[in-house]
Amino acid sequence: MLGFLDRFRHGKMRELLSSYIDGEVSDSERRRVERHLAECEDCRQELESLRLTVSALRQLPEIQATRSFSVSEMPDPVSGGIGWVLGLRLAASAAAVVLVGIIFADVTGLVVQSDLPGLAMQPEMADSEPTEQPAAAAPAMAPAPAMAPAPPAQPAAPARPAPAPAAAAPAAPAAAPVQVVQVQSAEPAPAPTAVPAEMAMKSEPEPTSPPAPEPMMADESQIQESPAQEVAVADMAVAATSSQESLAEKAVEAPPTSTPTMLPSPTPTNTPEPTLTPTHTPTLVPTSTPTSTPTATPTFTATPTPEPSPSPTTTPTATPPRPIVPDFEPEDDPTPRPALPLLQLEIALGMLLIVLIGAAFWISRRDR
Amino acid sequence: MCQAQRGDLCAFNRIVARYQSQVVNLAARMLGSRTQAEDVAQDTFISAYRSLNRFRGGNLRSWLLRIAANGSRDVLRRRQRRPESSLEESLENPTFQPVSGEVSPEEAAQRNELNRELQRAILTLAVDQRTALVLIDVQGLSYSEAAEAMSVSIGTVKSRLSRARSRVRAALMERRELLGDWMRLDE
Repeated sequence: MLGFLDRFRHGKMRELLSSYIDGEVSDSERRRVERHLAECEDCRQELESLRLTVSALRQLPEIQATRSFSVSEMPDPVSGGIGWVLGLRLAASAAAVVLVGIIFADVTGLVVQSDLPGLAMQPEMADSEPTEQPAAAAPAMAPAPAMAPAPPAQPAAPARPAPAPAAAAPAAPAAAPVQVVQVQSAEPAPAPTAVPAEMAMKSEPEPTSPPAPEPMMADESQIQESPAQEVAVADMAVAATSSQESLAEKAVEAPPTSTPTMLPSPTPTNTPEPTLTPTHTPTLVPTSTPTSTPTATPTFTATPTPEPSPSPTTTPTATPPRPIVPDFEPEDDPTPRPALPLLQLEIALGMLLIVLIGAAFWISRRDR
Repeated sequence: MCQAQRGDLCAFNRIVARYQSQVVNLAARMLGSRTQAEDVAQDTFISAYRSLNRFRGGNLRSWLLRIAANGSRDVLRRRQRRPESSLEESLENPTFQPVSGEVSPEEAAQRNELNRELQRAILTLAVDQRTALVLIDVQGLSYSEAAEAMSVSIGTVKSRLSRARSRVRAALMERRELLGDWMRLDE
C-alpha cells in the first residue's frame, strides 16, 4: 500500500520535474518539488538525466532545406479554392430550392393554373376542367339551368351563337334598345335568355371580350344590310359553325395575328366544349340564324366601352371567318402534350444538383 | 502580414523565407525524412497563402507550425497505411559540423551518433508527444506557443512533453555511453 502511494507520488513528481526544468511551475509547485528532491535520491537522479536529455535535444543540428518554398503564380487567396467552393455551394443551394419548388408545384398542381397555354400541363387541364370552367367563367350559369333548358346553353357558350346573350348583356345598357329587342326576338326562348344575359352582365363582363370579334362581324353585316344579306350571313354563320373543325385546323396550322390576344383568356378554351355537349346541339340549330343577329349587337356596342385590348385590334381588320378562329382554336388544340418537359426539368435539375455538390466536395477535399 | 493578406506575394514570400527553416525542421524531426519534410513545407506555405484571410492575428510562427504539424500528421497517417522503406537514412545528412579545431573528429562522430539515437527515440514517440517534444525542445518554442500550435491547453502540453522526455531519456539510458560522452563534450 505504501509502495503504491510512493509510486504515485513519484509519478506526479516526475511530471512536475519536466516543467520544473523549464521553470514552468507555480511557486507552490516549485516548493513542493524542491522539498521532495531534498529527500528523494531517485528523483534527483531522474532530474539530472532529464536535464541531460533536454540539453541533448536542444543541441540537435538544424536541418537545412535544399530548396526555397517561395510561392509564385498562385491563385488569389480570396478567389482561390474557397471562392469556388462557395460559388458551387451557392449554386447547388439555388438549384435545390428551384427543384423543390418545381416538385412542389408539380405535386400540388400549382403549375397547371399558373401556366401559360404553351406549357405542357395545359392539355390535361383542358381535359379535366370543363366541369369547373363554366362555373368559374360565368357564374350566371348556375341559375340559368333552373330557369329553362335552352338558356343555359347560351351563357355557357359565349364564344358561339350562345355568347349572344352574354355579350348582349354589357351592350344592352349602352346600346340602343332596338338591338336588345332584336336579341330577344331572335332567340328561340326570349324570356329566359334575357335574364341570364343580365346576370351574365352583372356577374361577369369577362366573357364579353372573347366573343366580341365573332359576333361583331356578323352583326355589322347584318344590322346595316338587307334581310337578303342577313340570310347570306346566316348561311355564313352556319357554314362557319359547320366548318369549325376545318377552321380550327387552319387555326392550328397558322393562327391569325389577332388571335394571340384572345388565347390567354381561359373562357374560349373551355366554353366551346360545354356547348358541344348534346344538350346544346338542338339550340344551336335554331340559333344558327339568330347567332348572327344577337351576337352582332352586343359586341358591336360593347367594343367601345368595356373592351380591353383585343377588340380594338380585331374589329378593324377582322373579316367574318377570322374572328371565329380564335374561339375554336384552343378547343381543337390537337396535340395534347404530356407533362414530359416538367419531368425532364426535374431530372435535369436533380442531375445538376448532384454535379454541383460533387464538384464542391471534390474541390474542398483537394484544398484540404 | 497585412500586406500578404492583401495579396502581396512578395510580402508573403518574406514570411516564407523567415520561417521556412523552422517549418522544415519540425516536419523533418517528426517524419525523419528530409524529402517528405520539404514536401510538407511546400504544402504548408501554399495552404497558408490560400488561407491567409482566415488568420485572425496571434502568433504567426505558431500558426505556420500548426499547419506543418498537421501536414506531417497526415503523412504519418498515410505512411501507416502504406509502410515504406526505412526513412532514417534521410536525416543522416544533418550531421554535427564541428568548428575546425574545437572538436576532434572522433568526438564529432560520437555526437552524430547521439543525434541519430535521439532522432530514433523521437520517431518512437506517439505523434502528439513527438510534436510537443520537437516544438519545445528542438524548436525552442515556449509552452504557450506550443499550446497554440497544437491547439491544446498548456496543461496538456506539459503532460505530453513530460511523457515524451521520459521516453527519450529511457532510450538514452540504454546508450549511456553516448550520453556520457556527450556530457563530457558538452562540458
